[in-house]
Amino acid sequence: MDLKNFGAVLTFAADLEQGDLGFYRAALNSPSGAGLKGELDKIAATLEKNRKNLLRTRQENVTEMILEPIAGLNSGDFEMNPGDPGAMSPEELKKTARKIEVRAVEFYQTAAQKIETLKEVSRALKMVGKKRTSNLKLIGG
Amino acid sequence: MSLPVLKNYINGEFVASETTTFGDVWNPAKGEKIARVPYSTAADVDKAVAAAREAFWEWRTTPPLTRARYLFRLKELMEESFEDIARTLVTEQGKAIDESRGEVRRAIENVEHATGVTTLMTGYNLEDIAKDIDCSAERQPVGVFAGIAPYNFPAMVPFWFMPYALVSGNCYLVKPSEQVPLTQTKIFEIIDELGLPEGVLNMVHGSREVVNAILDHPDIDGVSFVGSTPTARYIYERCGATGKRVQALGGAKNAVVIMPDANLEAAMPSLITSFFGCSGQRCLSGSMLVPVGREMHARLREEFLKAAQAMNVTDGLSEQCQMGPVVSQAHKERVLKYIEKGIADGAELILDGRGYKPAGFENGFFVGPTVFDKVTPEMTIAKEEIFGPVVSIVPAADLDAAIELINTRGFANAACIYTDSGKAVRKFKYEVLPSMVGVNIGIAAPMSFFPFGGAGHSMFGDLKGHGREIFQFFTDTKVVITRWM
Repeated sequence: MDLKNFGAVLTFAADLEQGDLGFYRAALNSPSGAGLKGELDKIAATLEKNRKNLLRTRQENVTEMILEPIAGLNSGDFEMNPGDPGAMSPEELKKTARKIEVRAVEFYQTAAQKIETLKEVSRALKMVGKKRTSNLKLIGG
Repeated sequence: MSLPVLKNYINGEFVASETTTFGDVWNPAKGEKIARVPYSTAADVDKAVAAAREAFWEWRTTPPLTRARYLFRLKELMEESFEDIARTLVTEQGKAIDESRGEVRRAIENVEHATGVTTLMTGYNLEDIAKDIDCSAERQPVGVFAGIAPYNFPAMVPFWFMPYALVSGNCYLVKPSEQVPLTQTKIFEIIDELGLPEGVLNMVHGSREVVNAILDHPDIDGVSFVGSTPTARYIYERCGATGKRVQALGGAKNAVVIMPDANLEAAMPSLITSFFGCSGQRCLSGSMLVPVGREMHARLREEFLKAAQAMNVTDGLSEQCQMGPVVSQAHKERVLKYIEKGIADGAELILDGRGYKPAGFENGFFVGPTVFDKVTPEMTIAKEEIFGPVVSIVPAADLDAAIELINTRGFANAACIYTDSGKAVRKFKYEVLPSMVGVNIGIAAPMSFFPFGGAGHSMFGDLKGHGREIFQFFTDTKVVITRWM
């Protein structure tokens, strides 16, 4: 789906954080996540904070002057079904987590560029992108 | 299923109106009734005004900073309920959710601006205006004010006035549009949590009877209105007759001039927003698209048409929505009549929005993006306010012709120009009559800290909405000349 609007981009971003958070929480409760508890806890906390920041950004940075359409951003390019962490080995879990983070970083970098005219929003997206990059490093990416 | 019946908010509580007459509130995307609004009576207005008058002295003597603290709290509570307010607004008004969020944001910005009362309400003084005599000009609250709001911005427009009236020490009565009363009702549920002294802030739903009761009420000192030009004129005249302060903001016929040197590619997104944002139902919407010169006309026609055709018109609650329905079936029919009039007058209809029915919303009040080319200044669609997603391309030979077009509409709300030429911009802003001017901006929407309002037939009264001037509207300047013997 084309993300043509300011709200559509930030809502997709917040949903992305929420979806990924669901994966990490499930991973925390699975045997394969036991060895990564510290990392997964940290990532989950980051994603929760990211989501709140994205929703705050959506709330605070939209005015009727900045409803200009955004072009060339499609949600389909960044959607993924990571699968059930409970059915994964610890190695598969780590690999999947890296894929999740790589895809998130790509999304935030692309979206920040597409929405560059709105500096505050672009900055918020870049910041979340950086945090996802840190997550990637945390899990050995 | 029975529909919820809305209540008034008088003297610090929600109360049922005395009326036996009610109107329907619609979801314009679905074409479904969602609530019943009371057409309150003059007696309801009288109760609200009596409560406000009773509350006035205590409120007036409350320090400005203490009054401002209520607004800080209001901001916090509005932030917490932000999404809820925005979605309620879409449900009754129809606009896209992003536009709705933008509107709620602007409402909050007015609250934020109003909290600057301790610097914005100050007077001035001068020593020694004569031997041993000093003089000061002090701003004092006036009493009870009322605001009559339109249907296109149910959250924001009441906030162009209400926070300033309140923080200046006045008591206030809000009359929301009877077509979109749910948003203010939602906001008053928040206001009810503020712990404001009873009677300081009131809301009465209704229609003509409520408006007339406000205009004629001897205990109301001033009225702010936003709506159509005929009603603005009526309100101005009637307030004049009863000696009230008045600011009555009316309609518009805004032109967006595209000079031959304009960067059309960069301009296009904001042009589309200007003409089709809020389905054209805003007094700052572009209505006439004015390319200067033949070459720009040809390019603009092609590019604008392409962009208009690509718009996603659907239910405003969809995050993908770029344009929602118009507010009502009656308004849809009014817009369609203008399209028929444009055709009958000989304009070339190059994009026809009639019969637009998005999947799943077949009963909604939709009009798709509509574009006429070869519109001449004499045609009805170039003279009257359509208030819908209907664009008239009115070519002009040069900048003088474009300015002439703008200055002969009677309306003088906003005008925009797209160009890289400083000389053209200076001439444009210097000569056009509208008092809100956009330069490479499609919507000349001032922020809360600048004034909002037009000239000509677009505004009756002198002090505009928000900005610094609004504190003048809501205060009397008392001059005190002092000599100590």
